[in-house]
Amino acid sequence: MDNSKFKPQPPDRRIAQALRQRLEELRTTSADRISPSRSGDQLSFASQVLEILQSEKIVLWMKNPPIDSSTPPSWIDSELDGFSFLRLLALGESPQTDFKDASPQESAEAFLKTLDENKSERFQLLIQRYRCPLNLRLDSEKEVVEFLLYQLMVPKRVKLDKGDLDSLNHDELLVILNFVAVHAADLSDLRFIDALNYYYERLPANWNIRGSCPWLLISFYALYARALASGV
Amino acid sequence: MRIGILATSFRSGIKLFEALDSLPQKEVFLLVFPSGRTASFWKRVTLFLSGLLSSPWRLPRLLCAGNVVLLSEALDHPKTLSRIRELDLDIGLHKSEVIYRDSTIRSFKQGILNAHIGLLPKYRGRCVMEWTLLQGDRTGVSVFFIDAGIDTGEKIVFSREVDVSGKKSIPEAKSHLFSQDADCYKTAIQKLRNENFQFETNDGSGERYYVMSNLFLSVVDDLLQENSKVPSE
Repeated sequence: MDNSKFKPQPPDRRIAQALRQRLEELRTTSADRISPSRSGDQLSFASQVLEILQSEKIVLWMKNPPIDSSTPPSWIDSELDGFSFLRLLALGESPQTDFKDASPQESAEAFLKTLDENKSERFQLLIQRYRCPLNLRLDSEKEVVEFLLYQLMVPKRVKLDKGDLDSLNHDELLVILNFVAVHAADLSDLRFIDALNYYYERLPANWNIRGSCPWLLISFYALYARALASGV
Repeated sequence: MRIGILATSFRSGIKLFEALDSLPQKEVFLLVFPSGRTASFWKRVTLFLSGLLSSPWRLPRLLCAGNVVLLSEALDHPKTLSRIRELDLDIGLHKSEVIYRDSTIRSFKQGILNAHIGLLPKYRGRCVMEWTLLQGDRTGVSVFFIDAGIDTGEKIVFSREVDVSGKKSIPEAKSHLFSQDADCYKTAIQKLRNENFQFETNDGSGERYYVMSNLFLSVVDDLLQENSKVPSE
């Protein structure tokens, strides 16, 4: 049981190398994964994401990560609705925000209970509370972020591994993937970026999304690219 | 002390049973139960025959002595729980792949011990050895009394660092950690017999880890291969 011989090498360099390799792979396959024809009413958004992933802009993202991974000082408010905010983040832009000291009336603990009791409404509940998904970085929301990670990596992963995506609520799955991707840019906790790695490896390229917001798959790939870029 | 090994196959359980032979003042039972809800007659016959092949001389004797108990229902089935309570066991030893319910855990006077292949409280959940290596930490095993959560049982009997350098792949390194279980359980039982023994606390300060992606698994494999090339001193 002598552990004196064990000399763990700092794996940071290898992790950065793996993230860079994945980013390159995502860029190379983006045309297959992001089909503007499957973006619903967000045709131009899909084209913009494709352009970014296939251009040199992504190299700039690597040098200067576009998502500020720091924790906001307080609850952020924005004039934008949640969908517009996500699309701007996905395009590497910084939406106009306003810091407010007023957190939502419902505590994170109470919100988790609401999510648990209203499974069919999770998509709407999440997008309403996190109109600005950067708020998920606040300490007060830690339990919610853990819940989203658990949802991705336990119940939904079981379905994904069985190839049974049809039995899932696609809107809910996609919004969780997007929120976790926003959170994953903070690489101090590698569990989040790895949940995205896992889904990237297993989501079928020709996934037939049944939901109201198929473009959320495109924003997911863009936000995943942004998170990868912040780690290379 | 009366000890029950909880296993889903004779083959895995009997090895632990034999390893506990050297412990003084104990009576050990091997409880073999189905991994699903029930075991059909033929499944039980298959289980028995595979056990017989792995231990042709010992198994029939143990069965006759009542030290091997073949359970036909899942662990949380009332019939199974009642049988376990009849045995009046102090401690259960986890040697299966199931997650235990409270009713099963409470059927043992002190609870069920698990030899977890990660250092608690930091590493809970799945793929903890891989996550440990990915984050540049030292690998090891923790023996603790389980509760119904995922590696959240508060009472840690002890944790021990275990060297995996020289292991060239994830399965090899994992198998090395799992192979520590008999020795770890023996040590834990000896510690628990000591009047002055005090538990370490699993205070929930760590994180729950999940299944790892192929991307990070390849990083871990590379790290192991790199480390296995470092000459031993």
